Amino acid sequence: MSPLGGYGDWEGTVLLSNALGYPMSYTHPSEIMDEIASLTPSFTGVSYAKLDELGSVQWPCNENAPNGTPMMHVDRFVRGKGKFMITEYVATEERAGPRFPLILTTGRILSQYNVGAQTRRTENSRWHEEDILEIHPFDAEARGIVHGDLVSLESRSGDIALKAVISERMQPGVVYTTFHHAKTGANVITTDFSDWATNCPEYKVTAVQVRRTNRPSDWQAKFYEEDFSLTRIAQSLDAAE
Amino acid sequence: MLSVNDKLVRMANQIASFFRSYPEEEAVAGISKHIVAFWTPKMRRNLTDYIDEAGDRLDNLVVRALTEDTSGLESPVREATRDPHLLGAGASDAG
Repeated sequence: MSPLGGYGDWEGTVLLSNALGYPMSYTHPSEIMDEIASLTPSFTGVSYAKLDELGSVQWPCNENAPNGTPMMHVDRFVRGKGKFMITEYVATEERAGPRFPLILTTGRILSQYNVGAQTRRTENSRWHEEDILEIHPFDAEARGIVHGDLVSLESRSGDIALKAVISERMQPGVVYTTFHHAKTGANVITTDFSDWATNCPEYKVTAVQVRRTNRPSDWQAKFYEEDFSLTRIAQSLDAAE
Repeated sequence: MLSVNDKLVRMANQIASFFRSYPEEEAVAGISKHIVAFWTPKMRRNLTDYIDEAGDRLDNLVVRALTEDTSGLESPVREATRDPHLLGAGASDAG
């Protein structure tokens, strides 16, 4: 697809850099690739001409491996035979209980990318128009939920509403949703727990409760209002008679 | 809601849990190096100042890592590869 903003990412970067006073004079991405190759030992042999010729090149690609390295670490790792590490299991502190008996895990689907800032503007949205909550038939039946019901999803952090889909893909006790649509507010539900090593937020384990509802959550109502008021595209008016 | 300091205690105790299966001296070095490398100086100061108040809630391995000189101890986690271009193909995890 052609760039929606009229410029490729690299052109936007060049324009921004020039505007900020750091001149960039690239006229084609291949010139940027050439500069990367000149500065990165494992990319020395990479060029657009070679990429066109070979189709793809696996790094390292340099004087030792002119056509790249299809398979790395064939006989040895850099440090020899490798080193095994003990990786002690560090359990989450999130707990399910009477108020929040289900575990929510969030994830992605193929046709949308993360929060969808790019992919929701494309035809991909025909495949995934909204985030839905998948729930096992047992958990749904116990709550009087049928396919397509609007349900409230609540955790210790907050609550949102979204449509339920009954699915045996789920284990009983586990519900699932994606986080591709800002209006869903999946992050309103998730907690501030994170992993010890990288502080990556814990989006796979949140204790929740699910109930039928007939309205968006307060957070969603506020979000819709703000989203509408901040949209600068003029709303169409009825023609005057 | 946990206080900021109690969140630091929780994070530090999780780091201690990860290193607990190593010999104690290595675990203390591993915890210390992780905290020095990835926490801000303010977080380290706050937790160090909070040791007495936290009492038993703060893992003893963390207390040792925060209060002892660990420069002579070896962490089980190796440092990242330096100068990968000098070590040969595949020495870098870049890409």
